[in-house]
Amino acid sequence: MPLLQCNDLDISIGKTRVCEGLSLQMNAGESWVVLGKNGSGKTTLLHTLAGLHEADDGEIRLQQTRLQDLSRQAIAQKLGILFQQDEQSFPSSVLESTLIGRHPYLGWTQWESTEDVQLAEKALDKLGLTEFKHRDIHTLSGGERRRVRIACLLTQNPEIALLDEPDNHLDIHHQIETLTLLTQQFNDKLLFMSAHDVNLATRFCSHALLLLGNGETISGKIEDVISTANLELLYGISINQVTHKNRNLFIPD
Amino acid sequence: MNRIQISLTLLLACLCSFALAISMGSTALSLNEIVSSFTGTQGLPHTLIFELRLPRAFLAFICGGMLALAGLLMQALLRNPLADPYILGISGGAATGALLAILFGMGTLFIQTAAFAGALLSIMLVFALAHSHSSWTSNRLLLTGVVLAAGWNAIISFLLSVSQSQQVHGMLFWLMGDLSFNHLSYWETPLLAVITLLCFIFSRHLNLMSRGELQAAALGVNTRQVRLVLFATASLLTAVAISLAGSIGFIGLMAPHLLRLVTGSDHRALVPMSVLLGGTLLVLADTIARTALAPAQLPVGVLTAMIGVPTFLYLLYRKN
Repeated sequence: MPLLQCNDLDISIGKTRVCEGLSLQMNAGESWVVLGKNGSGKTTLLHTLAGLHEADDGEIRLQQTRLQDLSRQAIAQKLGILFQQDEQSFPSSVLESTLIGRHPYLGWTQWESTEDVQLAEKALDKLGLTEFKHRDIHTLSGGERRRVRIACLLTQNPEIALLDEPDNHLDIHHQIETLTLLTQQFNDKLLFMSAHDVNLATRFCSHALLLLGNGETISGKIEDVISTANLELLYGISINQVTHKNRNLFIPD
Repeated sequence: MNRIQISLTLLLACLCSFALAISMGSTALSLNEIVSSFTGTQGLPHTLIFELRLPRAFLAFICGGMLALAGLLMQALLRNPLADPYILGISGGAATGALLAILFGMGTLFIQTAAFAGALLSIMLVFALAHSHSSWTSNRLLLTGVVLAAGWNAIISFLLSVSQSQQVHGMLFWLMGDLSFNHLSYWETPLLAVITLLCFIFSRHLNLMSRGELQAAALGVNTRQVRLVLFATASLLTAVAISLAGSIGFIGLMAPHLLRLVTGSDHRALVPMSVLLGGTLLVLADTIARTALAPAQLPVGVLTAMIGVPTFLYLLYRKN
């Protein structure tokens, strides 16, 4: 049974057609990357899969249930999303900002228990943020704040994680470290991320979806989808493939 | 300071403000007289305390608490640190109603009713205008409110300019906030208590809302519903407070921010503490307003600003 599937999905935002008639079956253990030019609708697609943007047509099913039949809380227990931008405008400590990941599991009169705090602390530890625990997130750098958000996602611990450009703001050391951590943590679950770095995608993902910008899409196993021909079609520039230490790398001409 | 210390300090400050409020005034009362008036039922001190000073202190406390809580909710709703209870133009609508009532020479009860009606009208206008599109974002709400507030201000200026000079004095007092013309009836205190309790219970939702609606929705908050409830609750509190005491500035902006500077942004602490601090500040301000230049009374809004601005600036810069 697929964890997440969409059938005949049409999505648009403004005048951009993100996809038309998109059908995907995504299973536990897979990690998907969605690639496309700026403005091709990667973020909109992620938001739609999380139920935060309405599709024009078609349906999304979370396990077997249609997304619109689930409450926000029920969705949040199964599916987490890492946004590209951070809207927090009031001061808040790193621990508080991580602990909100437990919100979907708490009843409306419940407060976070010591176990919840421990889960948050464990996640902070995994991202190397323990020493920042009591700092205000506004005193952190963009990359550190990004890692706090990822710690929050680990605290939420959903079966499906949608990541909007998870490598954004991170230096290459933390890119590799964070993506390694995420693929380990979601090893038997489903990862679905948008990205710009094709070589990072081929290194960490098993499946790919290309948004061509006119509503057309190409999807499938990463080795079938990521080819110079497809990437040239996607980005409109010529691309070379080189092999280094048994890895295929794609670099623009 | 941890939360318990801050709460105790606030409680103590609150008690002190009440003590000051009942002992200070045209006739200063000694500790002895105050104690005996609580045990006896006769005499001038008893009348002064139980018929004049204590009711007025309670009125100030409830209005201050309502304004502070309304400000806190507006800030969570609009995610804007500059949001106060009046940012959506509620005070403009209320002021227009009240000024019209004063212009036509009506009594206190009519002024209060007109202010409340004006506030409700303004709330419904903002809501209808901002809601007409399917997406009802905070920014849209904020802009609609700010533009409407500007419109109300123009009407207020017009009313002030066409009124006779003896009416203008009363109007200015109303515009700057004045606790001398009104008293609490039976329902305002329970209303504030119930709303405070509900906000406290739902404070985890408030924490998430203040982090952005997308983030809140992604973590399981039904943002559409919560947004509507927040808007309605904050508006109701503001409308009640303003119809009781005129538009008192600063409390709604300052109390939540002062507390954020010392306790952080967790609404579990902010909700009860804001009510306590807002109430205490207004009791203090009102006590000074009626005693500083006695027998003349100052508009309490002048005092809230004079106490609030330096305190706020001090805390802001000490933090940096």
